[in-house]
Amino acid sequence: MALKLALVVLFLIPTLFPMFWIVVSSLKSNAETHTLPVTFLPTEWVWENYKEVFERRNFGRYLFNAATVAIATTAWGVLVAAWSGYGFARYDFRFKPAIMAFVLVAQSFPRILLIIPYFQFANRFDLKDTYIALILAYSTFIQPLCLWIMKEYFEQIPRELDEAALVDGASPYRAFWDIILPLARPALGATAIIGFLTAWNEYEFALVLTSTERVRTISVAVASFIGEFTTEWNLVMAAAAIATMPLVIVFLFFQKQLMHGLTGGAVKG
Amino acid sequence: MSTTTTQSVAATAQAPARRRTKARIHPFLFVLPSVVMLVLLLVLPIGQAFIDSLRVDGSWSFDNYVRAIRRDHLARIAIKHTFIFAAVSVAGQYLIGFAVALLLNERLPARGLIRVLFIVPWMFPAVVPGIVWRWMFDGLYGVINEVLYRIGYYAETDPPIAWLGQTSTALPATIVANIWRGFPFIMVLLLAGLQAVNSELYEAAAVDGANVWRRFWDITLPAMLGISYVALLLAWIGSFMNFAIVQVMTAGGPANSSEVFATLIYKNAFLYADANYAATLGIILLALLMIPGALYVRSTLNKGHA
Repeated sequence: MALKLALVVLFLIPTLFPMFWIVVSSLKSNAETHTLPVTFLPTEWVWENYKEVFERRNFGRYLFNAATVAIATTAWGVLVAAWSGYGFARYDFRFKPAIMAFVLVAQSFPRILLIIPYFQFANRFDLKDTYIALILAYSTFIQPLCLWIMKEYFEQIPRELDEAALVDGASPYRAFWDIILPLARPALGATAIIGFLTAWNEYEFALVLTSTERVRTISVAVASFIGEFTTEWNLVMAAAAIATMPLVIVFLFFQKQLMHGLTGGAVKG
Repeated sequence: MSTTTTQSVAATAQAPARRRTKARIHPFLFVLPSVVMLVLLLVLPIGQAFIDSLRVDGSWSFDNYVRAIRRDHLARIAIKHTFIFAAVSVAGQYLIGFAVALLLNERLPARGLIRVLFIVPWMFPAVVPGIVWRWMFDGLYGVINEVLYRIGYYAETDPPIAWLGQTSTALPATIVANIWRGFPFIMVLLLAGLQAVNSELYEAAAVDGANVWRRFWDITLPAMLGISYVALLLAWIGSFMNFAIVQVMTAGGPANSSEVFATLIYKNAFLYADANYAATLGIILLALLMIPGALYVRSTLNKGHA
């Protein structure tokens, strides 16, 4: 037992150290981040760093942008995935195996390839610097995984339930909406989390498709912070902590759904 | 599971043919939204990129591909780095992920909490791992140099190591960050696999006098082959197309020493304003990813039918 715990600690130290270092660095004064030897705890705790990030760099706006995009992506992406996932789970039709194979393989499409045409489309249709461009992009990225999770989940719900509703005279849409969808809550939770995390975390598309702080999300803001302020690592770290905070909350509250979702349903929540 | 299958088979058999023909519009309306999105925003853009890749100075040509494969020195370097980045990352993520999963599969106090702590690297937004490791690897005020100095790895008179500023260590540093970022994902998958192994097998083996190694070798490893295969494929795909970590830590530098395919594509598209050539590199990256992608599809579909 002692050996096991020692091993756990041995692995945990490097695992947790970067998080510790973000917090410690974010509370140092700028002078202290440029002092040798490096201190492992701030000599003076500068909580004002956080205030400065919000006040001087308008981080409230970036948080608001990221939240808007993430919530809209979640709502729209999950609705579409559930609706269509039901169709794939319950009906057989031509091309279904081909479409399902495409859905799976689409998970390994490199997003960096899509950036170029998206950039061109956004310019052509005047969608640069709009929420809608990011929401459309992200809800498409989550479509393959979410569609797959929803389909797999619907397939485990006995068909008798829809059949009974249909016999009672309900349309398939009613049966889906009133009977089946409420039963699929765990899968909805998992896909919702995927949507939220994907949108909140995404970097490269937000980088390319936004150019002003009106729409720019927190990921891009934090990363661009580095370029501008390579000498102000305490502020960069405070910004990184702020960007991570909402994820910590989501993470702690929805741990089960998260496991299920991020592993593509490979781990049953 | 088997009962559900039987039920659905029975239900399908009972469903009268006439209703199925009348109801042909329903499946169409159900799958339409998703298919439209996938076609408009995934298939079409890739088609566009493919067309772009075949355009050189307004006419059709394979020249971009010839350039990428035969003439572009940088593309060759980037592809080599991408393979190194992915291979070392996957190996590191898998070994650490497996070790931690084995540990967490043991009886431990506060195991739930420990598991959450091990997943911490995974919960950061994509840019943050790159940012914090860049700061930790900082050549002047980085904590990694400080630790190495304190444990006596180098003396005060030695120059500090500029991890991200010299060609020999930039790529390894990004790999370290990527391993840190990615191992929890593998760990979670493998832990689920371990927990599914029949514990009676271990008890029987213990009764037969098999030691820990024998049990690991004969029971654990064979039982973990399937999930390991999927985990390795997913980890490979994720690392192979990684952009955020490298871009934030080194942007491919110094002197392209950490240039991977994704950063090279980004450079060509947005710094060198050569969108068609960037699209070409993107299509090549896609082609390279389709091999593990296809294996993943096959393993997932097989699992579904088993």
